[in-house]
Amino acid sequence: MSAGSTGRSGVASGTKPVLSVEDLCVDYYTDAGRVRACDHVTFNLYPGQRLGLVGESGSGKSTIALALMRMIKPPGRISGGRVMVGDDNLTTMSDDEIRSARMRLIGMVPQAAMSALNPVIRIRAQIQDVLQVHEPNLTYSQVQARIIEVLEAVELRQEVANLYPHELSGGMKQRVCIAIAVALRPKVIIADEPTSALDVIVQRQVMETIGRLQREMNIAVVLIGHDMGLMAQFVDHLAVMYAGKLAEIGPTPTLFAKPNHPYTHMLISSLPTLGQKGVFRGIPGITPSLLALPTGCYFRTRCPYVMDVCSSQAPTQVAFDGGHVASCHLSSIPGGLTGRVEAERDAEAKLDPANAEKGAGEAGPNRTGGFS
Amino acid sequence: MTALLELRNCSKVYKSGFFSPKVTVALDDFSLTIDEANPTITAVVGESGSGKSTLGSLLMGFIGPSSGQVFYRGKDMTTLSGAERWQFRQDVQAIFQDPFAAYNPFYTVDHVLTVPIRKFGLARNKEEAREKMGEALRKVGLRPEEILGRYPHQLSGGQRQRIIVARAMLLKPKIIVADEPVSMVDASLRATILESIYTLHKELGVSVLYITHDLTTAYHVSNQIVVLYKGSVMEGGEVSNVVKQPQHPYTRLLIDSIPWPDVSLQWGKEPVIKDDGSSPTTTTGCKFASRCPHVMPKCREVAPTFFEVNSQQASACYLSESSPALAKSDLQRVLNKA
Repeated sequence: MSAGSTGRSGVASGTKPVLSVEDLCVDYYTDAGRVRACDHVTFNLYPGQRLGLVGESGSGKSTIALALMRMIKPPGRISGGRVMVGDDNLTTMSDDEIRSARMRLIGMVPQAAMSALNPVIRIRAQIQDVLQVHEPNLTYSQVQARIIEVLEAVELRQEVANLYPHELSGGMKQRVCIAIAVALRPKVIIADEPTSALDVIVQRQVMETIGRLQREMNIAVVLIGHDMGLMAQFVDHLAVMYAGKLAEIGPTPTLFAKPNHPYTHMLISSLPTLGQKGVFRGIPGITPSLLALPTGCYFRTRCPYVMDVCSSQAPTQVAFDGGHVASCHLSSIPGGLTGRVEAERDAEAKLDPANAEKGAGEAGPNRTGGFS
Repeated sequence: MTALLELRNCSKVYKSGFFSPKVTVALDDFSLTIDEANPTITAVVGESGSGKSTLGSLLMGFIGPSSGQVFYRGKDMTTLSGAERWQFRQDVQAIFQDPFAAYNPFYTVDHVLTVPIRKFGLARNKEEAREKMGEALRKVGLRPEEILGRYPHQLSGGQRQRIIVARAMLLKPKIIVADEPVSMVDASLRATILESIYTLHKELGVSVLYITHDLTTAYHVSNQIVVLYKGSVMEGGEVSNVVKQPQHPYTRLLIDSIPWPDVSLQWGKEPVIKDDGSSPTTTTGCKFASRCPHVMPKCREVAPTFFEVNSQQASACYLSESSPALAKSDLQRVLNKA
């Protein structure tokens, strides 16, 4: 069974989004000034869809996850926009309302499963807690039946309920967290780097479980992470974040085949493949501090295709076919990013025909060269 | 010639429980030689619990083997004199997984660099120490003026990990044990860290033991590879042979589980068979038998020896039975050809 392609579903036009994020802004008020960690982010998620949210550390992807659950704590604040789950507006709910909406409408699989579970309470009690708070009318035996049901849904034996978190492996702990997230059958689950601490095989198993639950319960999934490989194999839509802004969003196959933002292009090519040995293409530099953002386009300090206009003007969002949107000035010049990448490859090939293939990989004045 | 560091038939057994101890074999009769004359990058891959970190700890002398011996420059580790131990500490350096836990948050990052300089007397005065620190940082692609005097929380994970690489380099070691150095760093920054480790190897002739669960980075960085499962070697050899033509079902499973950044490839064609616990680490049969899609009755009885698939690759699996058998001690010979 594949975790990937089988779950990808086309969405009929006219369907109402299950999660709709409109112009969401999140600010952190620090001593050094106001920091906008999430800057006018807009996207829709339809029932049963899988959306990937990628970006490096500090790009604001986890802030979005917290904002969707309305769990941003001071000094942070949602300063604009709204989050709709179906017909419920999460941003205007009172504290009591949001408390009942969390887990019921929108569930979350946290990043560090080890620290998400209470180490001194048995798994049974941790699942029971969620059920009792949200569905106080359940009888004891109904609650117990539900616990077994959710554990089985995540492929854990029912005896696991009687264990403590330290008795479980990393993958099992992550499964318990998934069980808690889906216990109330929410419409949306946010999975914040659910497999970052797991090895490849366990990662695959956990993602297969999330994929199966997503299909069976028709839950929409927001997968947050920085691994483009995982995204290629799991999600059907991809949003790329950079410095709090959406750099590009669109269907995964389109984004991989023809990215329209240099950052997406570099994220994809930074991953090692089994091609040319010893060629690593990192993205040079680090994400800019949100306190001292460059003028114009935030990515220009690391962009190999930077132009004059990039420093004076922030790019606007340009829509392409099939719901593909990118914010880059290259979109307005003929040939766009693809043209630039190809021209560069040709130039490299001319310079050194013998190494043409290798050179294409190392293209770009700012790239760290390959080593071999 | 005596090897710089050698593990000879090392096993590490952990017991838990007092009256009827539960025995876990973390490393089972493992041998590995690291030569000084011929520096290599050896990748050790396997999933969690395969014993790869136990192997790292043994090499760094943090733990001793339950049976077998560890030799440093031909001398048993347990018999080293104080001075030799000091030399060992300088020769063998570590890079750990977590760049967040490696720092004391109350000190500036200078601390991790000044301590080894002071302890090993690498500099005569403060200026020289500062110069050395700057040089080491520049080698890993960092600008000293941006790094020195800062606190760990002010730096990114990638920068912190590169400082750890710089520290390892400062002591001019002979061997670096890198235990999952990039698993907690953003995918886009992994390349730069691996590159600095690779530069160390190239320029200073340092041997590197690269412990990881990620076969793609292992493929790019290393010359030779050892695939571990539950403490036993499943497959070993030259890295592109093993990664491109994996012979052992476990290596195939590992490679099949990598999420490739290519939408047209299907992830996970081979199903993952769950471990039903029928092959404990103490079994006499093949340890992978309970999860192997090609399991045969004899796999559960006697563990297969190595079969020399080609001159640079050996697999411990009956599927390769048609190839010539290889004694366990000869694995090093196959690795050395890589």
